[in-house]
Amino acid sequence: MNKTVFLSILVAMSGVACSKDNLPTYIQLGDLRVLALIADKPEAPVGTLVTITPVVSDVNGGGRALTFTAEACNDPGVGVGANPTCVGSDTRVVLVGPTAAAVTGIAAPDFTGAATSTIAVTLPASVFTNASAIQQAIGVPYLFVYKLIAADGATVTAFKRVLVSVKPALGAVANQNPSITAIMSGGSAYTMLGTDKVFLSPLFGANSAETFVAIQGDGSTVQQTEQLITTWFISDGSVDSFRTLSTDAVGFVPPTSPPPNGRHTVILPVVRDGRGGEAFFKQAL
Amino acid sequence: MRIDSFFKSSLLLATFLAFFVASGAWAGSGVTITGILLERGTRAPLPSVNIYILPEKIKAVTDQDGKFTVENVPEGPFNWVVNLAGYEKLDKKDVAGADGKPRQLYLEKSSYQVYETTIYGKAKNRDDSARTLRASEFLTVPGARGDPVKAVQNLPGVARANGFSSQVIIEGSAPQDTRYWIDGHEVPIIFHFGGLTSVLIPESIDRVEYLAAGYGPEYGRALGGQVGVWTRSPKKNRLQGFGFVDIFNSGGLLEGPVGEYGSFMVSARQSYIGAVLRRALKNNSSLNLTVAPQFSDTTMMYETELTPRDHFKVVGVGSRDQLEFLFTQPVKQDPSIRGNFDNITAFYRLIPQLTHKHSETTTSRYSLGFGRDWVRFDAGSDYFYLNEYVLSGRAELEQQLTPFWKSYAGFDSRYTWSNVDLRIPSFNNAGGIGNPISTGTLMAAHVYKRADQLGLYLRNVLHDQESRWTLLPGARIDYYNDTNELLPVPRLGLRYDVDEYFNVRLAGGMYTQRPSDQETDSTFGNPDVKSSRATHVALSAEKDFREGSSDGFVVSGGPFYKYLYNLVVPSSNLVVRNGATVPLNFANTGSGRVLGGETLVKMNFKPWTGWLSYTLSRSTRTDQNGTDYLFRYDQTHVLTAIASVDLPRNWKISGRFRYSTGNPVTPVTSGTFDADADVYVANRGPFYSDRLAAFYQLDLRFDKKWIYDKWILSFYLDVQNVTNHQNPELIRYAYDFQSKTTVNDLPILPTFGIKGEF
Repeated sequence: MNKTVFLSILVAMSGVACSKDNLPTYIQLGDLRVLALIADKPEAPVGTLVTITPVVSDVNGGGRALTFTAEACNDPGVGVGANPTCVGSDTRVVLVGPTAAAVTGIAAPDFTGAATSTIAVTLPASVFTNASAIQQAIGVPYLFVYKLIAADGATVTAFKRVLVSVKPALGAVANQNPSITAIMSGGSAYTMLGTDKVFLSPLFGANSAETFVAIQGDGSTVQQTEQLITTWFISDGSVDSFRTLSTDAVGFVPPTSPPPNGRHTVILPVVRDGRGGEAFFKQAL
Repeated sequence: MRIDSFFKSSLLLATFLAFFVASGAWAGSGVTITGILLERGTRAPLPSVNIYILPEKIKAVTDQDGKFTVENVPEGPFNWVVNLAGYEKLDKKDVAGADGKPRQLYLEKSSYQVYETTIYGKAKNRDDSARTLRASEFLTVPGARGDPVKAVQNLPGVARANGFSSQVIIEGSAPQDTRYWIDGHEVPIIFHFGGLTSVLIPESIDRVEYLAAGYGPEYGRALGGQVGVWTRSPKKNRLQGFGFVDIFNSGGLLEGPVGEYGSFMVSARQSYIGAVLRRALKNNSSLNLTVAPQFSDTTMMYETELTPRDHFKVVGVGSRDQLEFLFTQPVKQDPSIRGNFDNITAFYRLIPQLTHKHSETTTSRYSLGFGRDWVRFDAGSDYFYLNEYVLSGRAELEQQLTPFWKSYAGFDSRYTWSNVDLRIPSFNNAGGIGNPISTGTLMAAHVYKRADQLGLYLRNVLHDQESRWTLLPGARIDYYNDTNELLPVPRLGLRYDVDEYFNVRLAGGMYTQRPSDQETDSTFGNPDVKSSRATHVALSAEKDFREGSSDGFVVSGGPFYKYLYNLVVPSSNLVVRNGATVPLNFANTGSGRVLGGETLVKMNFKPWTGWLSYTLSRSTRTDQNGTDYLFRYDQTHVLTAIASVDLPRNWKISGRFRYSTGNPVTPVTSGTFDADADVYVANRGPFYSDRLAAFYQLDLRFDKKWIYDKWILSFYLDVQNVTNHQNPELIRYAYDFQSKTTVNDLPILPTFGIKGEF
């Protein structure tokens, strides 16, 4: 019995069934993607105007026209299984639509980055309807839905929750976005594509991992520090892990041949703080 | 003359003496030989068997202990000869001498592979809806690897469970609607991880009871049915046991007498599949096994006759499963899953049982089940810890009140004290498509809960010996403290014996099932939910075409119907409670129907035996909008065919073929990107409006026994999915749900093992 058969039997016996997984890889850039929806204020009080910046990738799109629509509403309960949509909601606000607007800022040769066509949304007071004082202090999510449309009909729908809270009024600090200022390798910024495997880590801006007071469901409080998680999107080559914690390094193997059509090899880490805060850094090599 | 006369007298005397010696009738001229006649391998004494010494034609008969004494055996060589039906002829040379050494004679059975051909003894059961599998049947069923509960999955009405699933899905009900028990006392699991084997060593089990639609009032709290295991009595005749080794695990069992009236049994098993897996996967960079899956269990038993009227037995069962992985990179389907994964499920039960025979017509039975359950689940920073103490009690009074009226009255209670610590996201699995864990709302709490479940029941059997009718009216009352419900439910059975070999039965009743602890929790569930309900009706007939002979057919089957209502189902609605908007989590808005028919054909034409079971059914559920959809475990056709043949030299070959309709699945039309959690959430189509491909599988099993005087060596080779057919079990989607592939059931899987018993 060869090792493959033996291994498949053992894995099968441990409750893991067998499949040939040739499915696309999560971090591989190529098809139309929304990589992040970054709110300039991931947590804010009622009435705040929040600007949301989509981070978009369409590497294989060849510069096709992209458009978008956007809407917002009170969270229908996505966390407990409701569909992430504003359709049918009494609090639905169409921000862009029904006619789609052009996505701007996604330029050649990589067609990946932050769209300059941002969306502004005002956090309504209706979010707090039937929310208890504790819930208002913890924060009530307000749903933002973004639909990205390619000229050939391909679409990607993404959503984000902006937390509406009374923390500033209580003297607490609302959540802020983290930041990435560089991709580091061996103590210096990684800006030149080599041929050997390298270990990359994010360089975070000051105060990216915030210490905050979390209000628990029973009203008690506990001090915590954010755990930053970085997702490593790449257009070419391969990485050891999809995600890293804090400043942990990820192994990156560069592509053996240069990308076609004058395109760069793009490495685009997106960092999240677990509370709605997001940031990204694009390195074209 | 005197000389002549003397010569004649001497010749006459010599002739007489020679004849006397030759005939063996001369007392004191031979030797006395004692001995014992045993069955070869098992060393079971063989009573009342004729033993001959040839050529002298001396005969002895064994006593109840198999012992015999032969007197006046002439010194010198002779042959032992024993002829007994069902055994090989014994013809063994021996020499009678003055050594006085007791003899041990071993008689070898014609076949050690022959078992009873009755698949289940439906007519013998108290409950007409029950089917019973005995050890002699489940130990050699192909594909079940000697496991009793897996053998239950071959019965009609039981849907095929996924791969190595431990579920027993009864007649269109949900897996969680089946209760499992040992000697009448509920246990949290009946299978070790992955459904590999039951938590009791199979040889310690007397029988497995499968209670389906219309089951009687002795048991309750389950909408679907019950699967119960009855432990057997330890053997009293001598110290004996066995040890075994196979590719999953190894273990052993020891049993024997204790004093004049008592007996004991101990058994233990330990798996080592994890160690092999860890070694095989040591170079896999993405799945680094720190502690691989493993299980262990132990069973202890003591039984004695306290008095001629009092029978006492105590059973101890302990089981532990551990599954631990370290994911060094996120799981592709859900990149939020990474880090350490650890799951431990363990329990023990101590079950003392007392049976008191008051008189020929009255018997009472009492039993307690004391124990503890542990569940520990760690996944990265999320966890769930359950620590629960359990006390269950059963008592029953059986009375033959009149020649035609027998009653069983009893109670069936269960109390639990549980502590739960958890920090997990809410998990939405609508339509069988799970949302990524990271999209759920994080919940953390410590919960203490006491749950009281009390049941009272009464079963009556009304049967006049002159009548062909038997009426079985019964009732049960269940009380659940967490939902504050007192629920009386009727049960009714009716049997008509057309003749000695043909009967028709009708069974039905109402059934309740309390919500789970999570479903009634004020934070994670809905404290206002009530118990789920069901109504069953089942009609069946059984015809024994053998009509007294050993070969032939037995055919049984009939239709069944279940109406399920008040079902507790997940809800994504929000509700205002105490002035705050909170998730409703669960509601009693579910309902459903199951309609089907099942049949079982048993065949016995020595040396061939066969079994054909077929179930046709349709199980639907209705959502809160009134729309019907197929239940996720609905299988229109389930067919199981089993055949075996006993061959000379203690070989046995058996095979099983299974076919079932593929499970319904919910199509996923697309995915929506959750920018906060960095995962995609599935956009579901109509629930369970599509199906997986049908399931086909052929299993073969080869058994061989080598019989020695004092022990037996067994070997088996069990090959599952001989044709290596690829059976899809579930669909795996790409991260964005834009493309998919299937996860298939097991490929061809040969397993083997050896067992030595003495």
